[in-house]
Amino acid sequence: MNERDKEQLQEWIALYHSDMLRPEERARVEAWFERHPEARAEADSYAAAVRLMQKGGRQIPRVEGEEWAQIIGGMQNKLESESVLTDADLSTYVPDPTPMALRILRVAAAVLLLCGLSYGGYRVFVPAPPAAHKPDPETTRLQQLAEQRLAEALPDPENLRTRKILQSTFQDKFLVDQTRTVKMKITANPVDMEDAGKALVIEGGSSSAAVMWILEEEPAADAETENPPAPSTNEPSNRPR
Amino acid sequence: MEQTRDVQDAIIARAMRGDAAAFTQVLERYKGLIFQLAYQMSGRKDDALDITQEVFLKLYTQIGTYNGKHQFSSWVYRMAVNASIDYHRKHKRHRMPSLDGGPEQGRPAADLPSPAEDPSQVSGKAELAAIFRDLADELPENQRVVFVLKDLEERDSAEVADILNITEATVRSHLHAARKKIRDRLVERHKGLLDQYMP
Repeated sequence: MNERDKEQLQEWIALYHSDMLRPEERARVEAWFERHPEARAEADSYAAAVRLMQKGGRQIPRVEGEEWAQIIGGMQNKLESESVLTDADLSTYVPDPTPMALRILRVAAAVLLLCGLSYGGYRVFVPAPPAAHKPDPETTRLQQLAEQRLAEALPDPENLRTRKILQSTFQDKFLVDQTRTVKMKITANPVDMEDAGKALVIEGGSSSAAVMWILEEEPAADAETENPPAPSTNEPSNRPR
Repeated sequence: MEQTRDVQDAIIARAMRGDAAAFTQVLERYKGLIFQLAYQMSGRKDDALDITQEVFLKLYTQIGTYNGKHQFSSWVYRMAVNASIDYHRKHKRHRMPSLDGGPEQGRPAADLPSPAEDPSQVSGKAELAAIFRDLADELPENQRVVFVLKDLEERDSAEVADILNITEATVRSHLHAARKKIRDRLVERHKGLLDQYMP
């Protein structure tokens, strides 16, 4: 048995007490158990470890109605603070909860907090979420341009895996000193990034899993100067207590 | 009452179109699962509540982008997993170190299981919860998330692969590594306890 086979066998032994082995794999492990009883004891020790961890990990604390209400209240605060960024121009392509909806949410959260409803009787009450959005042609054109730049920054084939797991999301557009700037948020699933074993590197700059990527192009003929929106923050949650 | 798949799909579709009542139903259905996963990933109630809020926000702002390529539950789970990992990365530097090296590691009393009738059982449950948290904390993120989804949540391998966008072979590999680390640590630190759980 070579090293690779040994490693494979070790994996099967660890997974023996589960539904993860194919019949032929299970048969091979059981044949191994016949010749090596200590291997069966090892498989049993994995099962014991899983049972013990299940018992510890499934003790989930109860969330009271007031705590759910605080979560919703925190959502309201965040949505309100983010709505400052979405002025009339941006609202053409950035879905934005309406002020009325926010007022409803605020009232709902306050009522829930005051009433201190129990978990069993509590129901989450929130405003309508933003509906699926269809971008305007200009936005689509800019997105395509930015996607092209992304492809240039991470050319195939050496970054194929990395590119595949990246997601670029159109963030916003604005004008600074007559230069149209398109801001793209490039994000990657942290699990995927770890799995790929690669840090995200774009234009030699960031190694973060989420970066802002600035793309510049010539100003449009009918463009007007506007103030850029304030940068969004990634501060830790300020869920009110 | 359990909803049929068609009813669930219709509710999700309505929520995607901006129907507040439907979105409320979506939250009602998934809030417990989101919190549970967040707790199993973080091991702390306050952290899990923060993560749950983040996931609700993401769900609120992104439900319109759900494209049906994955099961909706997998999509939500994935959101919760990523939020948990992001949260852990942002806050792990600020964790209170354990003062005595014992199992509690700064855990708030509110996280402990609710009192039961039998005090000895309470002690046992608290000890097991602390052991779980400590050992899970020692796993790399990719192994921890697979361990949580597969061994605690008991999702099947294909669904775990779908949630994490990895292959089933990778799920097996991560699960093997996670189980091995956990088993080895238990043998080192809690051999007597482990023996009690042997088949």
